[in-house]
Amino acid sequence: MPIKILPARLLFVGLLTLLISCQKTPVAQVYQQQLFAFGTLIDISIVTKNSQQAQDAISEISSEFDRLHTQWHPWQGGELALVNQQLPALKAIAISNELAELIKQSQTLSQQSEGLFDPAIGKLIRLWQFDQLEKDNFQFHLPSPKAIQSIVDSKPEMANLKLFKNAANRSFLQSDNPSVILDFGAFAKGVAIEKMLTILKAHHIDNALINAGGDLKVTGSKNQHPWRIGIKNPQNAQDPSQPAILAAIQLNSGEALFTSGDYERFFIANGRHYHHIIDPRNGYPGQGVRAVTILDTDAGRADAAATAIFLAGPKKAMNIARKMGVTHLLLIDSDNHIYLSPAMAKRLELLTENSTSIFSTHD
Amino acid sequence: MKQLHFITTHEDHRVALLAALAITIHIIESAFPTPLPGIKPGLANVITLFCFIRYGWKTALQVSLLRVVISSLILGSFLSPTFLLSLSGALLSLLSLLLVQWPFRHHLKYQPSAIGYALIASISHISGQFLVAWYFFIPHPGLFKLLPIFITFAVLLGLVSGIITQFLVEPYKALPE
Amino acid sequence: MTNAPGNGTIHFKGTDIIILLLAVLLCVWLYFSLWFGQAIGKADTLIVQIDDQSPTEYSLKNDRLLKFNGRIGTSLIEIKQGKARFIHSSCRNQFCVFHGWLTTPGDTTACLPNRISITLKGYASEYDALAGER
Repeated sequence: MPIKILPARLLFVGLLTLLISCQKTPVAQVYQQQLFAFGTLIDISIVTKNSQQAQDAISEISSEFDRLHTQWHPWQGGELALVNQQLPALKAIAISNELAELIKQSQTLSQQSEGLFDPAIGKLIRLWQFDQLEKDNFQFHLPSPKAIQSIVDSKPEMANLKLFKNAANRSFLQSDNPSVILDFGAFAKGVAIEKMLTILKAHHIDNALINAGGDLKVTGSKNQHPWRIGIKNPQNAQDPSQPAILAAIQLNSGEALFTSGDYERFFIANGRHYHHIIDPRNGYPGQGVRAVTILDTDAGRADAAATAIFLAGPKKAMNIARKMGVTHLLLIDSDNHIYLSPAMAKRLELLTENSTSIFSTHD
Repeated sequence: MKQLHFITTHEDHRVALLAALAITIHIIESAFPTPLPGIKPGLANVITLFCFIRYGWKTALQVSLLRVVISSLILGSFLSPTFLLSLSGALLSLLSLLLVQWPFRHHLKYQPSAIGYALIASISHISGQFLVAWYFFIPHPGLFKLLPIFITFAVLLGLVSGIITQFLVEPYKALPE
Repeated sequence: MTNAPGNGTIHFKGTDIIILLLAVLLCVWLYFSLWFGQAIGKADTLIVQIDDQSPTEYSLKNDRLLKFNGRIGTSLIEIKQGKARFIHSSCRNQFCVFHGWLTTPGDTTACLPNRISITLKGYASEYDALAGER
């Protein structure tokens, strides 16, 4: 059978083109979705060739965020709310292993932070009403100094809690201070994000970014390039003429970036700002710092450390960071002076003209 | 069963010869260092242009696809980013040549000469590569700052390859295909 | 083609010259728009998401007021000179209104009680995400 070569060659070229277009292209789409969950706005970016895969993962993440939000809410409906009701009775309470794990981790971090991060101050948070921000009928009123002082004097802390297991491997919790109420507002988001990354892994998603209200963790990269993050400039919140972005940073796989700041969630009463980071030592919002951003591979630790170092202030920042095992920190004080740990200074690309100093390693 | 045998036409020989020439130039060119990544004299495109002007787009398409594929096989870059860049540039430049030729298909008098075609080919070649590079490999907006430089080089190198092509085409003008 | 090119001379046709002129113009335009212009990395679109509905996009080119109904009431969003903000929302805490103008791609704020979020998007944004309090 004679074959004329011209059509054969065109066929070859056609097949080749087809082969190339069917070939796994080096690029996958970035699939993005926004969720209202966990009392905040969550942006999920997933790099995948398969949007169904992304959708499945996101719907599982969404319901997991909802479940954790309910379970870990300090006084609304879930397990933690039940535990908080029973804690002041100082009897042993049966709790889930998941909650026991959360408490155990925060006990360690609380001790390392010298009590600056302490989820046992739920009573204070409740008094300041910062656990009620989502409620639509919410009205802020300044707590009385007496009420604050009486809680601070009763010294609620994580060390008041004892965790133990019975023979059947069931976890129990017991408090020896009636004033202890748990509120994981400064920790739960970090732990939750870690759980979400486990879900992504189970869905075979290797490249993703989860941004929960400005606190985020990445895995993998975006088309072979590290995820590039802009850190917001606190000054821009009051003065839009200031640059919107303070610094840029590229995150390696598995790195989290958590920020505690006074510039978005606050109330004004009698002409003063009252923000949501309460100092366990005196019961009032921490003073002297505008924002702390922590980079760490553990989102939970980053979350707790951001709060602790915000309250520690620039003088004690490096000391607390070292005790908590954190190396990368950025702190902006109320005069907008920037402090960086040496490790952070190497990673960060500062984009503003603020005066900057680098913590010495011997602080 | 009947015996399978190929009939090669005169045109096949021509494509083979021109492709071989283009591949040789492509490979020699790839051995030279470049001032900026992505900027090459693009002399292999002279052959594509020659094919396009003298024999039409079908010959040009075959020659340039053969060049891209075989050169990449020889250089070991088949299906790699370099290959994809090369392919996208080659395809977009041929497509642009066709688009420019289309309005003048019945007005030979107004058709651009080799120089005009070379400019079109070279600008679209680098634009195609650039877009693929930006979309697939370096999706950073900073890359766009380089685009004007790339296009400037494309215009200069397009002029050079156009002039070379013109010298190549002129002697054939009088000859039949 | 009145005068056929001789050997060794470079011959430009009228069409060639037009193409060359256009190419040079393209170069100049690219330098101006990409080196001196500000188009890249600037926000150009507002994305509004209400509850779990699919998001809607609005161009930032036209100044306008947008009114949406959420879970607890209405939210009023203003687009002005390439920026956007909440100017009113039915929530008590008013965090969305306090947030002020969104100016940078990736910038986002929400009225959580009303379940309405606004996010700026830009062509070829420099960042994959913005970190910091919102």
